[in-house]
Amino acid sequence: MNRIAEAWFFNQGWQPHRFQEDTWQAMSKEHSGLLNAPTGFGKTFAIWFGIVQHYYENERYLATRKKLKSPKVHALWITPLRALSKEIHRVTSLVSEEMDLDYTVELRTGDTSTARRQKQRKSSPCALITTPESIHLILASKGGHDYFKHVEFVVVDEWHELLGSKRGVLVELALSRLKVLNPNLKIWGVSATIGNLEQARHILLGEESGGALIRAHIEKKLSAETVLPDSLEKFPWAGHLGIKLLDKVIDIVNRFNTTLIFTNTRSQAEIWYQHIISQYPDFAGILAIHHGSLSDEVRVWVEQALHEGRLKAVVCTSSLDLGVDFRPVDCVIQIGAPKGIARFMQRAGRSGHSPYATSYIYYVPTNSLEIIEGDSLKYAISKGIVEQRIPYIRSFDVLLQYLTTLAVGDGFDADKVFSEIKKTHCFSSVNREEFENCIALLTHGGKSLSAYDDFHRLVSEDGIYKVISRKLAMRHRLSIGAIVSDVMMRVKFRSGKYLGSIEEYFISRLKAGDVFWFAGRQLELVQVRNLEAIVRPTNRKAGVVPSWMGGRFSISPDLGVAIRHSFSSIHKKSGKSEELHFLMPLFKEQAIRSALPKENELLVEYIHTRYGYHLFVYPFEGKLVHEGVAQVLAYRFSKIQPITFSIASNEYGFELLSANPISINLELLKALLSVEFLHQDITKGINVREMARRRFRDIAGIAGLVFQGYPGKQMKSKHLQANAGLFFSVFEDYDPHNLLLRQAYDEVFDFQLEEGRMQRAFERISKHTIRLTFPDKLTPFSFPIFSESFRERYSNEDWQSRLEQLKLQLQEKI
Amino acid sequence: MKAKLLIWEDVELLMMPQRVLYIPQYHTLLLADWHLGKLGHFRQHGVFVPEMQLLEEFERLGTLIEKLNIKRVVFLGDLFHSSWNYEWDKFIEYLDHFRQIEFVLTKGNHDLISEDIIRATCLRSCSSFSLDRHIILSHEPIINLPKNILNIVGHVHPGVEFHTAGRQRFRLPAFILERNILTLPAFGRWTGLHIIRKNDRHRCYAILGADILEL
Repeated sequence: MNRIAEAWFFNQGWQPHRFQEDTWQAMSKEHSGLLNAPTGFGKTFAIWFGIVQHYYENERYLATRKKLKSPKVHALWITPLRALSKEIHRVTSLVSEEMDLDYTVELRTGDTSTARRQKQRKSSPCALITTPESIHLILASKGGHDYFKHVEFVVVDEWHELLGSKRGVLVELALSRLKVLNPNLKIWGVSATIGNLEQARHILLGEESGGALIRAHIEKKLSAETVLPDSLEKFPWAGHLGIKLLDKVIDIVNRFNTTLIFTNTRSQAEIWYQHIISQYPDFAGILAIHHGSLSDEVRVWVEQALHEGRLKAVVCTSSLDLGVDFRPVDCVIQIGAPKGIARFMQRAGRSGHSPYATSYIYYVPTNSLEIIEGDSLKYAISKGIVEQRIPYIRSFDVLLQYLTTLAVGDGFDADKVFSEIKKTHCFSSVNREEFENCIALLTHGGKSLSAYDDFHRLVSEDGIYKVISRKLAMRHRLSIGAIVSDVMMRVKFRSGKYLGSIEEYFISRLKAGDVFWFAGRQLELVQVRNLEAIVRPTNRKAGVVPSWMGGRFSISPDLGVAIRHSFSSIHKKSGKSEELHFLMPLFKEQAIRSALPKENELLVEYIHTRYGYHLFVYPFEGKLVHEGVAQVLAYRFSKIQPITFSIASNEYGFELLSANPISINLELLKALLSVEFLHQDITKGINVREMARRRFRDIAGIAGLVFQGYPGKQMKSKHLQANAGLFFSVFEDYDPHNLLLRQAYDEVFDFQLEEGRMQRAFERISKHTIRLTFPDKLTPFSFPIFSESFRERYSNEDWQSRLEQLKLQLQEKI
Repeated sequence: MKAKLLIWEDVELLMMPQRVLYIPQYHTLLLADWHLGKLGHFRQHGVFVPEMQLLEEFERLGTLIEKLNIKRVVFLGDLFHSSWNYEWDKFIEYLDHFRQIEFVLTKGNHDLISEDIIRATCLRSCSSFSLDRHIILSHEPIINLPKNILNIVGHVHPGVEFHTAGRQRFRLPAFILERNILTLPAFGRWTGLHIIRKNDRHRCYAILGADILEL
């Protein structure tokens, strides 16, 4: 079997799990595979000992190793998070130390110093713990190919987390190259349970390789409870903060050893931290805050303190979602709807980390209707419903970045790279013409090179594409990755101590002397210098909290099913859950003001307020589907009369808001919600342009159009800075068939307006009886949608006539 | 197209929806922040944006010159984005069609074209330009100017934002008059808008399609 593992397990006094032995065996036969196991049961060791055994005992590899002049990297371990990389590094180095092995392990992430990286290049460690971006960075350096030539194992940790993002595409591309560099390469993935585990294995390992799928059949015990307010009357109808339940949250924290308090956004984390500290001063020193915008120093300190059990609670965001094992944590609190079953389960798993311990999670709703999601979550868990992670396909932005990466490194042969990427899931449907289009963009910036133009990015030398400009190469290395953020300002004390970063947009609205909250501190802005905000601590009250972009999640379709189930249970005579019981007065109020729809009914409300004329519709299909359905309805309305709508939606329904009255009746509604001509109305009618425009922000950043500037040298690149919106307009006007533009539209259709789901929703609705009501004020169902600040617009009035209306309105005011 | 009249010390200034200022008395047309060459500059540095349709862009000025009685055009800075690229040559070629017209550039922070190159053209560059005793033109506001002298500038790309009934939102380019400083909207198509928040110190003239409306 695995002698090293057996010895080590014996020393620890542990017994290997079945899945660990299965993994060692598969690895000793040089198979690839995907391992599915809950955290806390030693999945890292399941794979690690397979690697170490191979290094010391595989005959073929030993023969190769003998011939090498200097040691080469034997294994790459890729994780999505730096914090997780550190943890893996700690655990694996310990094995080498305790077993007295010369198997060296090093860390390479964005934090690794240049000196350290150079040393790693000269004398390679046996294993490198790293991130997808760092792998691409090595590919973007001279001799990168040689460096990876003897890699026998690539392990992709938390693959489910990467799969549904463009970072997953980075992994696919890196693997497509590594496989060619060493045909003996074995790929291993580690994944939590997701709805499409089989597909996850296929994408990671490649179509032809087969590979093992090893599942640990171990159930983790989970206790989930909804935190209910004392009285429903005093609980708000809308809102996303949840501060009203602060006292209850503190009660829970006091009952446990160490608690992680998860929020959905970074600003929410800051606000919660601030409220706890000011209302419970005793928590000073034992409460911490942790999110992605804080400096590394702050985060490392928090993580360390968590390990050592010095903290009572940490307010955090998805930055603490993954992998790292904090033994003292025995309770998790989720503030606000978690928007997904898998996320909720994963966060729950952060508590009771040791094998067979129970994970405790408390769900804290932020408004009254949200309480029902506690019921939905429990239902989903009991039924074993887990979301799928939808992989990206045809991400030309990532492909353009990758081609430039190869060109900056050792250069590439177009034919070879084309055949490699064709074997990936993401690019399997890309044809040669589209690939040539990409090459054309990079070599002469688009269609044809004019006589005057001096575009250059890639040049071809003897059939090998390269980047010659050193400036360009440097700029590219700085922008490798698939996470796009706005221009960030570094927040520093005058002494130079770095606290973290905030979007420039937020700081630009502050004046010197203004007070804001950040990193759990009250800070006064002293001055702004280049892209640095200099601050000092202050006790002056009345601060604002920065809001970061991103972090806006939409609910998963599977949770949508669970939510519909909860709403249909309202009418049950008995056996209602605690949450539903509690909400009954709210539902009664809804029935009095409007109506409470039964399972086969669709409720539509038409309400007039000072904002205009609102039409609320409640299909309970989840936000994503509602956005699309709302657009189709708006389009169908506009075929009757010219009209402009502001559209808002949430998990339960959506709103069409018009400045002018709309004539509405049952007949019309039936026609508007008809399944007939749906396909046509989706493709023609929906104003995808605005959605595509927003998608383009990431695409432009990843493809290398938007450059954020050199760290510390912001001024020099200033003339090269423009926002993605500008590029979108330029492409629209001058090159409407551009690949990246098309990609933006495709992503909208694939991820936002998934037609199959819309079709099913319309079909379901068409079987329902419509209940149209005309309430004289907002209802419990409509109020949360009414309060949504994020809105889409739909209009078929031309710009000129909209301006005419604006003019009339403005003239009335003057 | 309807222009909006503004009078300063008896001089008539016409704010036009084409994002220019026309001063009939001096047969002068003013425009700011065209940022020509911007896309070319990006391309020169390996950013694969499409090329600009240059002629179509130049015609925006050409049409105005033909329609109005103009003897002089003053570019209020940021005419050309960054250092030389071929779009500059194309632009100068175009200007050469208008031999009877004087072209002046009050230089801006983005105009990095070298003086030598400019000297070889029909374009005259300076840091500021006095139209008469009461009107001075520059890219950015001149500090400590007497109150009765109007300073016409560009630089900030001013715009205004409205929220109207039915939760609609509009962002439109605007002319801003604050004390003795008149800021022109950017003439360039590929520039952003800097939203100016309304206050009592300034007057604001928004461009609504073919009209200009004072707010």
